[in-house]
Amino acid sequence: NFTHGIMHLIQGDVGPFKPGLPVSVPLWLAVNLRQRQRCRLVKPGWMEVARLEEVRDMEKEEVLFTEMPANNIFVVGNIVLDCAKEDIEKADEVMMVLRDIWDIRQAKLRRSVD
Amino acid sequence: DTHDVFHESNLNEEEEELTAEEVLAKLQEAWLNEKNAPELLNPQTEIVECLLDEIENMEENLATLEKGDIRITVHKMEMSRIKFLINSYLRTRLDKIQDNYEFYSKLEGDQRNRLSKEESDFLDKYKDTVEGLFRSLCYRHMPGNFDWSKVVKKIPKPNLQSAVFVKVENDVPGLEIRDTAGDGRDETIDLGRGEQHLLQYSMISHLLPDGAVSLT
Repeated sequence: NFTHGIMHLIQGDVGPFKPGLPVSVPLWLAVNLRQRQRCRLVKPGWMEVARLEEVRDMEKEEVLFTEMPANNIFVVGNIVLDCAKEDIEKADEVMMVLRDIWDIRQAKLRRSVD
Repeated sequence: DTHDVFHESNLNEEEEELTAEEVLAKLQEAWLNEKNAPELLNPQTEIVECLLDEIENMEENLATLEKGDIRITVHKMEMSRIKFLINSYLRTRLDKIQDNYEFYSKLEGDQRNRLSKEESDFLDKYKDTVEGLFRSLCYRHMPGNFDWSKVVKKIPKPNLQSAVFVKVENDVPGLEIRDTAGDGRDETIDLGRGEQHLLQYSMISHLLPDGAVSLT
């Protein structure tokens, strides 16, 4: 909800920022702006309840680990849900399904040690 | 009309072929590898120096802006993050040196390249300090005449057989895994790009310098 030109960060350029228009920024910057109430977060493509439930069901059926829709899905999921719950629809369900997937995979790890 | 003072710091300089962005990515990779490897890896001194320069430039640029410009906070945050990476990277290395100082001080010639000049100096000072401490604390009080040259010490070394998680960046066909327990369970496997494995460090350490694999 603010305006700014392109910022040339060491790790790459971000911007320009125009109110109402979505912009891609590094996660840490997004979290910071959200905390200062300068923006809303747009949820990642994979963060749909239906999609995550599919992933969870597949994980239950497979003996081995299945591929996750994104790297660091649990870390990113937790960070986004932590700071921008209001921006995500059905945030509680998303959190529950993510936790389910995590638990299933943990259990597989434990079983494989035996 | 705003004159963007930051643009200059991102232009490629003659000597470097990489953008600042790529150098940062390399530092991240070096940091992860160093954190996960049981032994000291090759020092990436150029990367560290390059980023320190970038940070210095950025700080100079920031000084020319008026206070309250939103860019200041953002750039400061990014600089903090980069400084943390550099800090953590260097500290991890120093920890490894301290844990096995005798082993590293006995390295000769080529292998000594694993330590930067400053790390080498640190190692020498550390060794002197610690040994001086042992001497004044207990050696003096030990009974009898100890002849140190007759003592054959077993020097602690980094455990090269620790397990590490490996992420494959480029295909590695025909990697030989030797059974160190001597049970003859040798295997040869192919590593495909994008795969992740849990392997013994000593089996893959030769693949690290070229970046064929990275530790996660």
